[in-house]
Amino acid sequence: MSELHTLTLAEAARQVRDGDVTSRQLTKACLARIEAIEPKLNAFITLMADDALAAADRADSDLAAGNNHGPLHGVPVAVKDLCETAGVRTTAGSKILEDWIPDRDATVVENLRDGGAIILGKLNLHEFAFGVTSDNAHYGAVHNPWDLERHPGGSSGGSGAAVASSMCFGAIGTDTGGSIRIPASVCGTVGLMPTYGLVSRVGVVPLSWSLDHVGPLARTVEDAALFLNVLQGYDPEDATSLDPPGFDANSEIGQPVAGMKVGVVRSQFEKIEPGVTAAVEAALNQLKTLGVGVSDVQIPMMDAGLRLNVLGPEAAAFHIDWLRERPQDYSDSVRSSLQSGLMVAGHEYVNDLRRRTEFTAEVEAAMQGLDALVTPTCPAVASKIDESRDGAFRFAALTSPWDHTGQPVLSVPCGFGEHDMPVGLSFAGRPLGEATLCRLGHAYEQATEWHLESPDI
Amino acid sequence: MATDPETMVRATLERAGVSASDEEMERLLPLVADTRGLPSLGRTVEPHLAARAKEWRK
Repeated sequence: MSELHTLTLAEAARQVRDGDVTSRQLTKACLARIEAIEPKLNAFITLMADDALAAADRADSDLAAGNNHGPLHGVPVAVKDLCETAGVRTTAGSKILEDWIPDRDATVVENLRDGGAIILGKLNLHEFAFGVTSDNAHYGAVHNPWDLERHPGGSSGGSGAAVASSMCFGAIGTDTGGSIRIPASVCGTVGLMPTYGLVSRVGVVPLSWSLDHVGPLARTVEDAALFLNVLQGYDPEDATSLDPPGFDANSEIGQPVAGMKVGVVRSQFEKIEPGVTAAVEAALNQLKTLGVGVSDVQIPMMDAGLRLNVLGPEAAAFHIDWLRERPQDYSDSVRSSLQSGLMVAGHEYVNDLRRRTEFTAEVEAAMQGLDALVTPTCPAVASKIDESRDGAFRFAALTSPWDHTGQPVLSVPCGFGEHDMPVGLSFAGRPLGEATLCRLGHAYEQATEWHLESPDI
Repeated sequence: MATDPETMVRATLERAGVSASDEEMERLLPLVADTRGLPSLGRTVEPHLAARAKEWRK
């Protein structure tokens, strides 16, 4: 019973459904795990232990009465503290919102509750999600469970650390330049950035409205697919919300992948660490062994070092009033990042939006005849926290292009690089092609054992 | 018309109603050079700022 927290999300959900375990037992196992290792990781900003146990008891009662609320019924998960939770403070990792208690749930939180999930608490992150190390000046740095001296990526660093260390069965992250996939990669978990618009952003503190995505981190591809199925859904309050009929990220898992084709964006292998290159090349060979066709592709704008000034000005636009009125309440680094967004002129922003359209067309053309594009998720493994305060944005170099195109991207663990730290492999798919990505990712996962590795903490 | 980057940055911040101390400018200038890409600031970038931006990019 003491190892309940190490189950996969799918297995935990099945055991609750079958009556092999109660939601209270699962929740207590996670809370015990959190109590034991949270002092080392600092993954949470707010723990909701009493609420979680009460919700678990309701889940158990409901199930006993024949009311199964969905695929996550009774399963404990955690939420990035960028998402509003009714009656529970939502800080966005900031001093500015340190006392904010929303009166509503974000749509994704509401969807989780409706799907039967138990919310354990609110996860630490990079301040206002604007950074990739989760070295938070106000709530303390999050630590990577594989090496406590290293960062867990970001901005959803608490999500990556909590999932990798089995504090919860899955977690919500958000991704504007890589903030789901970077922590997934450097913490050795699965991260799934969904198609732009598939998951509602209502009630999620914005960073950059045209780039923000919300999605899951989990320990297996199947877990991420099940989690995404609950998060997604049309939301009339979100102007960008999609309404795909019969969406099911899990629908192709287990189907054969022989004959599928992936394109390798070879230009993205430049300037990455040798250990990352080795792990990714081995993964490509594994895909070939599975019968997947692997070929190189060229995407000219990406090959030339795509750089679009969209995130900065959009973030500055959201923050402008606080920048004027409460500049001292930002950390130095985030304030500087936001101020730099003010330096992008209107015509530059508009022209980069136009270039984004051209880039999306290039990617669409490159994907002709392919099921996915493949890149390393990050160019390097996690650096030490003290060494990452400058220059860490290079971690987003391989992830941010896909935030611009809005296509779904799945990052899966593919081995270990320098310092025995985890490395991630990314599959970028077609819009609403999450099921195909999960099919590929699951097949790769089942052919390897990387997803079975866990940090010794 | 401002031509050096520091004056341009200060003027832009002022227009947005945002102030920045000298210490903040030290952090901001290389960040701006990096964010916009050096060609955006072009010949107006001082060599020492360009070097810092290059360092930042590593």
